[in-house]
Amino acid sequence: MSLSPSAALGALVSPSWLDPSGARLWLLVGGAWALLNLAPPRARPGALAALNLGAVGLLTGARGLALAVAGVGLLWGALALAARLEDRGAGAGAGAGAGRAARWGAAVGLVALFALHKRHELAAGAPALAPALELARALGFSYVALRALELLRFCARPPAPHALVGYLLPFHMLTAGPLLSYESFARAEGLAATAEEAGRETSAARWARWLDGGERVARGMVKKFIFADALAGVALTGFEARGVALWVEVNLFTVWLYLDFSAYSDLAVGVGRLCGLATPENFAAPLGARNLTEFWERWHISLSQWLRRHLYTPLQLTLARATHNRAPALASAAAFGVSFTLCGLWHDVSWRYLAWGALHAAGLAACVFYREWLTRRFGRRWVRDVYMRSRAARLLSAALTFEFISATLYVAFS
Amino acid sequence: MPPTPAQPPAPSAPLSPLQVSARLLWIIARVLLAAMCAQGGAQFAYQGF
Repeated sequence: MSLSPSAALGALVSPSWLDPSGARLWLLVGGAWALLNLAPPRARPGALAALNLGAVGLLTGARGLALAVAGVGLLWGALALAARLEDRGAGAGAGAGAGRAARWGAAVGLVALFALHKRHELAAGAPALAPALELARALGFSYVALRALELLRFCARPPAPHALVGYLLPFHMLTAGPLLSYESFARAEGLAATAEEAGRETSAARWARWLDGGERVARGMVKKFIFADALAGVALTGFEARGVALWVEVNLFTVWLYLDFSAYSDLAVGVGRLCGLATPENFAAPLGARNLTEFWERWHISLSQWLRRHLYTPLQLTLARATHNRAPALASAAAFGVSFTLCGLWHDVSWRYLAWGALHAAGLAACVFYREWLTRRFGRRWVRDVYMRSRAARLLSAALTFEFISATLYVAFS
Repeated sequence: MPPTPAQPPAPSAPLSPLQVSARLLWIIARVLLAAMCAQGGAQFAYQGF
């Protein structure tokens, strides 16, 4: 299973800091809660930056911290250079073009680093890179890279260094998301920066927030350490079963992955609520989705939205314009094809994940064409009032969707 | 008769200290139970990804 932590990660990340049965993790969470809720509004940004960098240092040591600071500095420099070139060229084409080139150059560099991060053997000729790549893995570079690409596209001016650290390396979303959009981050930063706004929360609202956060943490803990771990222990064999038993395991693997990953997201959302940090929801009962489109609106929501913002929507619009919107379903299908093939490669640069992404792209395209065919054959009203409201159609569609998702996870993980 | 303007939703009543204590205890009980089940630290599927 390529998503499981590597042995090298175990050596890099101090396990005691992530052990919920020990005291250190709870001291860290309790310290973050106290620091961010008790610090005066003006001191909060600095406290949060110290906390984010402190978490990186605790998890990966001094070398990991130095690497993270250097990476943040490089990105800040690229954003500053691009903004300067764009300012110089305001009104004239050349400067704006140079600014755009700086952003594209930084993005290409990030993608190259990402490829090295996923396939360490590509850096075999430069063994000095190996420790840095292992540290990047411990920091969840797959997510950091997506946040950095979002900044290069949407951030006109380099944010203050503490804000850049807060966006790229949020301690509670560090290793596995969710991915906050830069727009939401900047809006939350703006609100928190207003002292009046921070002081406007009543005592009752604060207690409600803390209790909500605690509820999410408790839910995530139970989901992961009771249900997901028990299911893994009882039913998962690493796909060694055969026949009907394999089919059962493949289905249960989907349930396990949902429990595990959504539990992680529950913990991130819960800690975010406890500390008053903007944290997006990442799951909304995805295993009951009636089709693949709905599934991707409910599973790993923040990644789906990133793909939509940066790949699907721009591609779909470009294709629709280029074809004068004569074949909108075809434009959607092609945009899904590119977006999900790249999404597969984001998970792992391997044939298995390429196949996983291509299968999801094909499934999403099939949804678009099926919907178009239904509408053409039976009419929009019938689809809306009869088909979409039919309980039998919903059950059958949800079952088929679940089986498709399970089968594609088997392709990726077996 | 003019339409009645929409009323903003009433703010939910603040919780009593007893309710807060009960919810806190329920949260702590679940966290402790789950923490006791977590042997060998946390290993999430997407961790270190």
